[in-house]
Amino acid sequence: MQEPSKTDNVLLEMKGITKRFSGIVANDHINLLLRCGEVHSILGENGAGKTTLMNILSGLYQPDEGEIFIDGRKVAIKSPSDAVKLGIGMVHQHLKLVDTLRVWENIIIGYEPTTFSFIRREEAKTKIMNLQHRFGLHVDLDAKPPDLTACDRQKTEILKVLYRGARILILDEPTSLLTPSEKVKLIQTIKRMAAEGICSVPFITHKLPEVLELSTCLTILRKGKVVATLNANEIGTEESLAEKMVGRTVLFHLDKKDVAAGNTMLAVEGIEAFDERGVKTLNGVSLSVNEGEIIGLAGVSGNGQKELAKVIMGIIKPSKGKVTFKGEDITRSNTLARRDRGFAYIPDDRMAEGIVPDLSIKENILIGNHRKAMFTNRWLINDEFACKYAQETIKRFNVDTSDINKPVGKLSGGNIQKIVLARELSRDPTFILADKPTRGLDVGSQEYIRSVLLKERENRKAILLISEDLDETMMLSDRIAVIYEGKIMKILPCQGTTKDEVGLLMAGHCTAS
Amino acid sequence: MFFFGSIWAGLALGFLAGLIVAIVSAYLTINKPYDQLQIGFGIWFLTEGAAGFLYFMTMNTKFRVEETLPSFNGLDVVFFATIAITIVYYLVIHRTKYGLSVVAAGENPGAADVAGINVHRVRWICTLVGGSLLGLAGSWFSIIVLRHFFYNMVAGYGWLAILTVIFAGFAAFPTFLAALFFSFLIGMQTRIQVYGFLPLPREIILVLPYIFGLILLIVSGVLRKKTSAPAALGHPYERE
Repeated sequence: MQEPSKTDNVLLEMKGITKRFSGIVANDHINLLLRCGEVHSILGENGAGKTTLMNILSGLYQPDEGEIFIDGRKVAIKSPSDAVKLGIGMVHQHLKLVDTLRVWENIIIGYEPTTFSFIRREEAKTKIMNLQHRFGLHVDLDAKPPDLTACDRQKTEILKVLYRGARILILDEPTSLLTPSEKVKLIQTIKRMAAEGICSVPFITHKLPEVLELSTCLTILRKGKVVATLNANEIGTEESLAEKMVGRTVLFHLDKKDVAAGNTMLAVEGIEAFDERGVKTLNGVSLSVNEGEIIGLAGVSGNGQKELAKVIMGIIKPSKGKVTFKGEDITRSNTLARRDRGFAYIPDDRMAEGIVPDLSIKENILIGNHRKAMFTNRWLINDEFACKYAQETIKRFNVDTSDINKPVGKLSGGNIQKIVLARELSRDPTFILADKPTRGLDVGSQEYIRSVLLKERENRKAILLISEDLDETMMLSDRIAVIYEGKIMKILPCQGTTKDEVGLLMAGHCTAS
Repeated sequence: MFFFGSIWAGLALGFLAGLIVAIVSAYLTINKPYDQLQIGFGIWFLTEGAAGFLYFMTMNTKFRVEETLPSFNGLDVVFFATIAITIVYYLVIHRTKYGLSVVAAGENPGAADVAGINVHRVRWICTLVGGSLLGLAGSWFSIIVLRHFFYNMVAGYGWLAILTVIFAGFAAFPTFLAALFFSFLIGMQTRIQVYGFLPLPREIILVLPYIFGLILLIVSGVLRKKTSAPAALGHPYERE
């Protein structure tokens, strides 16, 4: 046990922070210590209280109990502007950028240099450019946020915080919207800023590889409580972290039983299609999915996965090519007809396409099933049956609530995805299209959703899994199809294929075989 | 106005009435999370009825305003005031820190909040400024344009104002030009009636500006594809 001799460089201390939301304890006597130049990961499942804690630090919420010390002095942070004065800045998970303002305006907002209230534009821009230079955060200052990449938007937010002179840079799941290469760049930037002592970084995440790569210190939260505080040398492995975070052993390698693949269920042949901007994103895709088989579609996002999913579900029509199901041509049939044939769809953007956030759990489970005879008394919905059905379904899919009248938007990401699964799989489908089903979820929910998909495979369902997470694809799939620039590069059996091989194909390199 | 015998007092009262209505509306839609559309309709019916009611309660005789506003080359001060308001509005929104706060509070109040901007205060100020200017415009219409009052005299021009702003894409100078254009249409409609250029029934001529406006709105909507309305227009803001 090391003596806590470095008390002199303690920057921030949070003591006994407690916050309740209408009876639910989001933070239960949390202690947190942040030293200068530290990247302090705050790890926890969705709903563990990480964001609440940081919202308290950034002045958005007031704690019910507890004290905050900065440089050893007790402080009261009553508003975001108090936090800024104390050198605390937060980059929120859902970025806080105004789409109609330019990047430089977004950066200076609230802290503009002015003469008689008129903004001194040149001065503001020069100041930002100096910051960009110092930290290597290059973004076009005159662009507007919707025209930027996710990474540049993230950089804009970081610049905003640095512009205000923050010493404590809170990052709330900053990598969730980034592509793998953008992630690497961002992580390098964070590392550098901390190492040079420019900022100390509380880093909220539920992604274990990032924790291992970045942290100089780690606090794990579970259900609003601190379960462990670890220094860099005590962090250990992903498995041990996951266990602490979830409170039980998490299986990173799920048991995959042998299932003999059967007849071809879904097949697409030579599909060509355009996206909403009129760009040709599918360039002759052919692939088939058999009974009792998971096909993993691997690829860097934006290579046509989204359009392929929409073509298969009949949401967009291909300009060329054929979609067949059990040998029957269904290219021209609409989404309803396809769902009636037993298509289940777990969409990529669960908040926009998977659910209606304002409607209740019951109603969300009913959507799309409501036409079925068992849910209706002639013209009206059979509410009694719908309630019973919803109750049973959420129980079957381990949704963490018993109130079927709760709006789905109020649930955590993992539970929302379980509602989507519950609705889609309770239809007893024959074909399942799962588009990034575990994206943004914590390891516990990920494990659950993966195990459900494997169970469906054992039930001889045909499954097409679209994922950016190569580990997930390798873990679940029987065959892997790699998509690159709207074309299938190759279809490989999962067994005997290495991650590197798939990675090269994803980057567009044809391996000699 | 009638009591004070001065058009300036009349316009000032109009401004004040607008301010009072704006206070009610701001409280109900900013401090309380009520639906702006519902509150708006409520206030519309209430004020329209109240205006007529108060008028008939207090004045038995028909009045006619003889006094006029100072004018240059046949254009009264209001015309120049609107140009001034447009320029001031443009400068405030695009060049000052207040402008950034207003844009942020309307586009992404969450972003404004974390930037230390008091969203409710900004929205209150905007509603009060807008409401009092609307009150001024209404009293101007009665006192200066029509020179008397009758029930439902504004005949939906307020709706035309909303349409003008949407048509102009919520931008200052385009709104000014669009307003001029719609005024031209309304002016044409009265002249067509008086001089009888078009062999159409009066009722058809009366609705011409609205039909024309509707067509323009549809065309501009189709061309623009995306709405330029502030993203958080009509959405109450509360911290979660």
